[in-house]
Amino acid sequence: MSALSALRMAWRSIAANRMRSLLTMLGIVIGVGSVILLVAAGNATTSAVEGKLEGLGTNTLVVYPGGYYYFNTGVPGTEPQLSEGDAEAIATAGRRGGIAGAYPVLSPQVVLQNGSRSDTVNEFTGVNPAYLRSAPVALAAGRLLTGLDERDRARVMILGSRVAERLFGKGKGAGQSVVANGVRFSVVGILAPVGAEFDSTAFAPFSAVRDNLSGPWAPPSLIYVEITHRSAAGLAKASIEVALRRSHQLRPGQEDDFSIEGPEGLVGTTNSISALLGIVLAGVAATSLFVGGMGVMNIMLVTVIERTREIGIRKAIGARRSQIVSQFLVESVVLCLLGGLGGVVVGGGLALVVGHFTGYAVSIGILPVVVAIGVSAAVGLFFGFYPANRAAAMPPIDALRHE
Amino acid sequence: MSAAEIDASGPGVPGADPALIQIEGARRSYELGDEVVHALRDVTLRIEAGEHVAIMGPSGSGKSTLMNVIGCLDQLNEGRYLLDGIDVRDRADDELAEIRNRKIGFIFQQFNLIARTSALENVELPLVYAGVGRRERRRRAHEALDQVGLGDRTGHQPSELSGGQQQRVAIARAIVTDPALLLADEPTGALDLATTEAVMALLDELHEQGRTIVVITHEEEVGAHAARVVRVRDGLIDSDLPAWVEATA
Repeated sequence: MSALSALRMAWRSIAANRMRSLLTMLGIVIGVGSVILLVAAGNATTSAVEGKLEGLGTNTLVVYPGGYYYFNTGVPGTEPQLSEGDAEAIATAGRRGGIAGAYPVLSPQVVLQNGSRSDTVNEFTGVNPAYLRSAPVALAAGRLLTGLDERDRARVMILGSRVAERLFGKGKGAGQSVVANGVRFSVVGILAPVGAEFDSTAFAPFSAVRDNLSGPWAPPSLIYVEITHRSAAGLAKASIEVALRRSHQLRPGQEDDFSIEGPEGLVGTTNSISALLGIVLAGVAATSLFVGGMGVMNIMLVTVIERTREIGIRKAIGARRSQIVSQFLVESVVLCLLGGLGGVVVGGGLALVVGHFTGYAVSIGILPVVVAIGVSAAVGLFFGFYPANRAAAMPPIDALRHE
Repeated sequence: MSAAEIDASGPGVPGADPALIQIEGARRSYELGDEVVHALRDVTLRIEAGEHVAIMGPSGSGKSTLMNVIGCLDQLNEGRYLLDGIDVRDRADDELAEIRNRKIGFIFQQFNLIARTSALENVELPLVYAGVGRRERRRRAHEALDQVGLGDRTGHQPSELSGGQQQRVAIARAIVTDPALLLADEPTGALDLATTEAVMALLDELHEQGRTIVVITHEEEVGAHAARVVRVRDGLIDSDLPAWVEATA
């Protein structure tokens, strides 16, 4: 029996019971769809983290308050903190310690307003303009922040491309002013879109943020440390550790109350998240495809019983066992393949929609699609096997007599 | 198993001239719950190639079992059955399928066409299972449909055809493999009088072209078309007479 006529036969039988076939496929659609969606989510987080790395630049280390195993208990006054003095202490290690500069960062919650338009900036960054020299940002319009801005405590701001777009519209905003938590700032520059965290960030001089937004006592949320060279990361880390242990007056044996993350640290975190996601993914995929496969098997058994007479006719006119088996196997494989394709379309579509609204870059890649469809076919083979063999084992005389 | 193997597998009874159907001492019984039904008790029957035979009998006489045995759809408990010289006993399912495919064309009471499948594809189906190539299949299926007078209905599905037309498609499907035997089971049982005559005329015509036809029926009018009438009763052959003798009896 040729593959083409087998496919045609399968399609006819699937199309004859359209509603039932659709419902049967639904299990596979959901299974494959959720896998595709999860793959997209995994890729989006990975690329977001990568974007963040690019944003930081490979020459930047980040110092966070709290040790590597620190867990915030929420009791006031007990959280480890960083101070501006810490940044100064780190900076004194100097070039010989691998340190090119240390910049404390204030990250107050800020709502920016332009008339009726407003935007909550997640990562509002008050930082010394010197930091921006080393960060990989490019201007779309206006100018960067300068040392003069810092010295003069100037109420100026540069906006990430998304933030500017929301407040002023695409490509506009430079030279305008914006109200941040009730205080008016001039917008002196707009950043070019980089597809990373910087797009939804706004920068202002540390001094101005301290004066107007965070309040005088707010501790820095983190410290950006610019290192002299990428290869100096290890040395710089050691310098930071020495400087901070001294300034925090930690005794030997006492654990660090801060943590240092370089690009490789973030990569490590990302990798372990990816690995976890992979396990979850495999579990979801296996469970839903198994359930979907059971549905297919169920319907194939019903189909075999419904078509008992047809099987009898086919056997009477000379169909061998293998020819009956392959007819029903092809049918269940086609059913699952269609379900798999549907799952790819639904999962991919959902991922695109979610990506559109969250701003994450969504990509799935060809490999997960190929694997998903291949696995769908395998599910069809596996769960179609028993029904197909039952069909083939029917004695022709009983099957012919069936009404 | 190839056709050559089937042909070589049995020359029949040594010394006896080979008949197309040769059944000797056939017994077949079924268990129905606690009861044992003896459908065939001791049947011996010989049908030569080119004959037109009607097997008749009331329901429960064993004629359906006989038809299933002749059609290689059922196996004997005892006795032997040679079809075109092949001993059919103790063959595997797939071997029987191949024998049915090559040697027998079935015509059923309910036509038994595959639904949602065109007349042409229905007729092609036995050739599909025989592994005939697509082009050759098409050609022979068209030929068979022409022969039953349905050359203009090849694309129609069974649901778009009348009962008589469906039965003619089924006949085309039966002859498309050029089988040694046409086996018809109540071929007109689902047809009205006028169509019955047309279908029987078609069978007569096929017989005149040299085909062997065995018709299982309980209708005397259908039986009257045959040259020989075998009557079955209680699992035994009651009478086996030429039709002209039957007519005068």
